[in-house]
Amino acid sequence: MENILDIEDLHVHFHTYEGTVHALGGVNLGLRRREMLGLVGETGCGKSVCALSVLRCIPEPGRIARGRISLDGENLLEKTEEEMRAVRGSKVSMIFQDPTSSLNPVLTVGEQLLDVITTHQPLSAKEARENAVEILRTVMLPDPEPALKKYPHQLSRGMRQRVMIAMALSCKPSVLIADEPTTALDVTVQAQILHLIKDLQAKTETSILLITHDVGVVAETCDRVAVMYAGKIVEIGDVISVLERPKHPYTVGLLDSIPKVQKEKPPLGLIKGTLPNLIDPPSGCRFHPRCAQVMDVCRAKEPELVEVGRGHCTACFLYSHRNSSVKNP
Amino acid sequence: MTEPRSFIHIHESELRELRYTFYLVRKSPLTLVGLILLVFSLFFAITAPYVAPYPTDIEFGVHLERRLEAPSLTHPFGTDDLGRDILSRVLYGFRISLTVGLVVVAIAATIGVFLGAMAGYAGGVVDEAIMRITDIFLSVPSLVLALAIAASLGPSLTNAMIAISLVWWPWYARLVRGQTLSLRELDFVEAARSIGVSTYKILLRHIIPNCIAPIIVQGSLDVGYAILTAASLGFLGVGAQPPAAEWGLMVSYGRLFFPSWWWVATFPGLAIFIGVLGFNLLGDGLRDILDPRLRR
Amino acid sequence: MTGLLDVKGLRKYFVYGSLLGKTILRAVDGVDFSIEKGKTVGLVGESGCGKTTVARTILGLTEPTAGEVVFDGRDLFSLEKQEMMKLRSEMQMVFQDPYTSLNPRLTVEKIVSEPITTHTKLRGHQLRNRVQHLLEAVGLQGDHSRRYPHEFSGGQRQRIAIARALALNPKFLILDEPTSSLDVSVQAQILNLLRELQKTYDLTYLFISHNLNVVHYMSERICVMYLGKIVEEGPTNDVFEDPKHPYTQALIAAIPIAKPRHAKMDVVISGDVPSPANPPSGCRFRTRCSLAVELCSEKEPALRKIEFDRLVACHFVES
Repeated sequence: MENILDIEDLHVHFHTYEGTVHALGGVNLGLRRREMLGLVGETGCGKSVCALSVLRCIPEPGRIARGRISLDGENLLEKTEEEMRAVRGSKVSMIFQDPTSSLNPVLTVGEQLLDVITTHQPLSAKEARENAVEILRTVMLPDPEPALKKYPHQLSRGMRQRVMIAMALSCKPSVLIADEPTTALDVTVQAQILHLIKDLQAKTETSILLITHDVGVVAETCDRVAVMYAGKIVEIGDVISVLERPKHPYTVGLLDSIPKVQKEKPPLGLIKGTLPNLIDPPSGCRFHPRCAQVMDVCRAKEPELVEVGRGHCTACFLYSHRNSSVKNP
Repeated sequence: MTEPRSFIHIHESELRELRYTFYLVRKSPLTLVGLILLVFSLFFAITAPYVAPYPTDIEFGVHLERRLEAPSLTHPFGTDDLGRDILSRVLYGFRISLTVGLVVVAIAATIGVFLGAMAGYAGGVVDEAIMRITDIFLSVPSLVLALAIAASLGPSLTNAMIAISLVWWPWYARLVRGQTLSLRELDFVEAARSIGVSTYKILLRHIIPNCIAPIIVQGSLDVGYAILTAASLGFLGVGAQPPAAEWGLMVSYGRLFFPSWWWVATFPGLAIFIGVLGFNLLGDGLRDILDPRLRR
Repeated sequence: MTGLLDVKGLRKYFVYGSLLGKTILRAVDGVDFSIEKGKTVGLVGESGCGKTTVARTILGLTEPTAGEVVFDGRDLFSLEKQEMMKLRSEMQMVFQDPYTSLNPRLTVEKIVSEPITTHTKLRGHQLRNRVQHLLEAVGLQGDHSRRYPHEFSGGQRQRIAIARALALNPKFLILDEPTSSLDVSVQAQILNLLRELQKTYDLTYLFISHNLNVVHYMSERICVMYLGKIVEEGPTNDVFEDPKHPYTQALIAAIPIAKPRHAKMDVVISGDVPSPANPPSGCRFRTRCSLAVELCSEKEPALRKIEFDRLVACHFVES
């Protein structure tokens, strides 16, 4: 099997007071073995919901309405809660954005790390402790032994994030989902953490799904990138291909609006309009109300992902005359 | 050029908020029960002298020929040892107790909110001074303190109300001070300061309105406790005085006739229960409804 | 070196502790810079460098421990209360988080009109008109003034904050991370708006951010701060093209660029930012600097002019 994780036609709905929010409207995503895939999008595009769906941790009032999520061939959506608990932390791990609120402030680093280790592995206390120190050394936490006795607030944010990564990787998961892992960190610390993640990935052969709104981060670390908009994947492919030759109008607009370090400073590119209300998503292509190149078909039908380059697919009718739709991008 | 605005246009946002609030109330059955009991109590508080079957019995009626009659069709709650219709007296009790509850909470909350907001915002010496005073009040069991104050002022319902208000404001001060400490750091307060808004206006416009939610919750719960406390003081003889139709007084009195003439104490007791329960349920429900994290 | 705003030797120390032990947090420890009328100066640095404290001190939200701030020729800290109030209407601030910089209990109209009602006697019909005009100037619809902040998106809220800042026709705006909480596409709208407003109203900006791409785009001059001190200063393009201070070099190297082929993953800097309560002796950056020698721990480098219009605080950079 080429893909370690396959998300097929995932639909997630949130049943709120104002109506049903169609947060994910049919997401198709494949994470290949040993790759780092970036999932890029703005607030509300559904990237975090996607991640939480894999772990089946979507908060109320959300529900997975349709779809299939296969981890190494097994459908995660068919598992019981007990079975999922065995998956979380050991086969699929997640690290979050804010290391301050992701760690329990009243437990020491050691207690939290050992908690994860002993939940999934039958080790003696001594073995578990050695394991913990080893893991902290791998994430380059200075002085790992004394760090076990420290409380989260005694560490800097960068160090807390390393602890989070250590916890996530302690049971050698096949998939690591990193949800905005460096957004809350300073630029120089961010560089260190990204370097660490990339390094660890090479050593442990874990597949990583990196969720971020920062295109620069994706460019520097990922092999492939998927762009999300309003609950759908609009473009996916090799990182060089997508960022240098973006095809989908949203991707083009997004890349245009990033300020670049260059001598001339023209006004930044704008995407007209605003995010659609997902309680009543636009008909057809969800981006059509904001697209400068909208055609009639865009209002009527939802575009499927079609190949526009080697391994580079986009969901846009501008390119549909090319190859047929791709199921597992 | 401003267009003339319709009523609906102006209040569109407020209406939307209100509708959402009612939706939340409907979703919680216990809050609904609380609300119903509250409406029930308010109704009798307002209409008691007009709907009570024997309005003259409320205070000064004496009909020894019908003393201690068991509940019957003519006297659904029976009569007490002076022959007064207990139903009428209990209904009038709603008026007294509700007034007490609302007035006490209003006074305590007003004092507490201002002192608490000042303490939290000003910090330093002002904060220390106010907080030490609240510490003193909070270190004595409130009922005992209220009892002492009421007794020294002289037994009367008004004095009981004053006593309870004096004893309760520190809770609100504490509550608001805590809220103020965190609100003070928020950007919109900084923005107001950078604009040059006076401290007084900052407190009134920015700090206090954002503390309202916990005060409403605490206030609703407290109306119930105020009723209970007033009843307790009445029971102990330092609150309402006979022949007032106050529930606590009636229960105290009714003790003497327990258990053979059980109705004299029981019905006023039940009324206290209903009054307090109603506000408790409402307060609890409001806490969930007003919690901004749970909204939406 | 006189511009609309001149900051000289600004220091702000926070003192914590009791009789048993005091800690002095040197948040801002000797900062000098100037902003010319109509221009934008960018202030960059990571968390704990003191840039927000500089902003708050300039605005008068906190008293400085030492130093001078001269605005339009007037020494801010020696003014009487009345004059200070008047000055407040000439300089305003836009805060970072649009979700906490607007009072959730007030309507947009009340929020935007607050500066006006505090400083002028404008009321009623005329006030409403002015508010509408302000909202339209920042790209919002005038008749949304009766709504509450939570009914708006992050980008729209930031526009409301900008409208509030412009209410009194200020000359100078401090923009403290105005787009850090916003999405990239919304950020683009706000940055474009800020640039237009600067041209239309001849505004002077102090643009504070940790996002170097954004600062480069918005400012003509840039000051790089580290642990309360400016380590490098100069025209933005020059500093980015040829950073002199090791910290500036590391900062620029660390920016993720959206160009996959140019991406370089070499990490130039290690360790975390030391605590401002206990900064390293001598040069504050020495604990993370690959060039550090003994001199760096003994003597603090002064911010020196090394070229025309370039200032650097490092022992290794010669003029």
